[in-house]
Amino acid sequence: MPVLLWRFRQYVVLGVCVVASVVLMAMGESRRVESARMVRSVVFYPFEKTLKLRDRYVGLERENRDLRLMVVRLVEANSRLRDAKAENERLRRMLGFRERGYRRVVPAEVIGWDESSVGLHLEVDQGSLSGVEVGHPAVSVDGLVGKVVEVNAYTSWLTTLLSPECAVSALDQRSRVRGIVGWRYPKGLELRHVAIGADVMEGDEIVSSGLGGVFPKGLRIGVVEEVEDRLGDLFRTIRLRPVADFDRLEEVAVLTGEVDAEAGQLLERARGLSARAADSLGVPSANGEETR
Amino acid sequence: MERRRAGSWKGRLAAILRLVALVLFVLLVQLTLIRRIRILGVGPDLALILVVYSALWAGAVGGTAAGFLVGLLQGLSSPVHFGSHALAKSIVGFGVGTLSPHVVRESLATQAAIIVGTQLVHDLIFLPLTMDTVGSAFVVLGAQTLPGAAYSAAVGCLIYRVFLKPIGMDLTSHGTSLL
Repeated sequence: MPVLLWRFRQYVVLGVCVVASVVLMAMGESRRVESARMVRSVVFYPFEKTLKLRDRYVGLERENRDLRLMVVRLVEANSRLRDAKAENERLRRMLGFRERGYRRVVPAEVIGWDESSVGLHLEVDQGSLSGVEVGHPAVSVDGLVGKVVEVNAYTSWLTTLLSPECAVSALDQRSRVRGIVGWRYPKGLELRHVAIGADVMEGDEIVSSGLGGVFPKGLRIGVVEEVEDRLGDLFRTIRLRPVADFDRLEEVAVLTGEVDAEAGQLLERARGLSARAADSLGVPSANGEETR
Repeated sequence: MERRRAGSWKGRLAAILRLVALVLFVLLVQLTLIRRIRILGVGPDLALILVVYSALWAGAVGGTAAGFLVGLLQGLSSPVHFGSHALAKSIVGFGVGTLSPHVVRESLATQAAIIVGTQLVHDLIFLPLTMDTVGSAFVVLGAQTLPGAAYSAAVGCLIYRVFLKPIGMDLTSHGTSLL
C-alpha cells in the first residue's frame, strides 16, 4: 500500500488538496476561517503599512498645493452651507422633525485591494481596536464607498459599491424617486426597481435614502449616466457613474454607530477656524454676507 | 512521469521555505502594488504566474502543493469565496506540473502559452463557483480573462528572465521535488 501511494503520489496530493479545498468552501465564514484571516492580517499589516509610506511622501508638494486650493473652495462652500444649515434647522423646528446626530468618524488608509471580476474589496488600516464593526459604512471625500464586511484587530475589509453584495437603498436627489443601487458585472453600477415612467434623468445625482439603517441618509452615491426603457420591462434600466474615484482611493472614513457628542462642539470650532481662514485668504465669509 | 529526483531533506525543507516566502511576497505585491500596472482595468495575476512556474520547476506534486498554498493564502486575503482559489489553483498546478516534462519549458513562447492556457482553465473553474450566473461567468471570461491572460503571460516571461532565472529557478535544469 505505501509503495502504491508513493507511486501515485501526485494523484494523492491532488486528491488531498481538492478535498481540502472543498471542505474549506463548505466551511464558509466560520470562526476558524476568521481566526486564520486575523493571523494573516496581523502578519501582513506591517508590510502593507510600510509599502504605503512611500505613497505618503511622494507628491507631497502637489498634494499641498491642491489642498490649499481646496481650502479656499471649501471656505466659500462652508459659508453658503452655514446659511443653508441655519435655514434647514429653522424649518425642521417649524415642522417638528427631530435633530440629526453626528456619527463618530474613523479615518482609515487603504492598504490592500482585492479586485477581480467578482467585485472590488478594500483593506483598510483600522480595525476593532478603533471601534470599527461589521456593517459600518465607509465614505470618501466624494461620497459613499461601501461598508465593512470583516473586522480584524488592526485592519478591516470593505465591500465597495463595485461588488454585487453591496446594495444601497437610494433616491434621486432632484425628484426623490426611490430605488436600489447595486453592481453587476459587466453592466456596472445601476439604480434598480425604478418603475417605467418614473422621473429620473441623465445627470441626476443619486444619494442614499437612509432606509435600512446601514447607510445614513444623503450620502452621494453616483450620477445618472444613462436611462433606458426596454420594451416589456417593468423597470427602467438606469446606469450610474460612481462619484467616488475607486481607482485613486487612498483614504476613507468609517462612520461608526456611536453618535459623537463632541461633533457639535468640533463643528463650532471648525466654523471659527474657517472664518479665520476666510479672513486670512480674503474670501468673503458668511458673517457679513447674504444667502445666495 | 515525475522527472525530478528527490533531494536531501535539507534541500526539500529549503525548497519549501523558499516557496512559502515567495508566496507571501507575491501575495503582498498582488494586494498592494499590482493596481498601479493595470491597463484598462486589467492586471496580471501574479499568484497564478507563481503557481505556473512552481509547477514547471517542481513537477506535479510541487505544482499542486504550491497551487493549494497560494490559493489558501489568497482566500485569506479576501473577504469572500474562501476555498475556491485553493481548488482552482491546485488543479491548474497539477495540470501544469504533469505537462512540464513533455514540453520545452525553457522556451518563453511555451511559458507564455502555458500561462494563457492556465489562466483560462483557472477561470473556467473559479468563475462558475463565485459568480451568480454561468452566463455572467462567460462574459467575464471573454472580457477580462483573455486580456488578463495575455498580460500575465508577458509579465510572467519578464519575471522569469529578470528575476527567477538569475536566482537559480532555471527551467533548463531540474528542480527540487517536494516529495
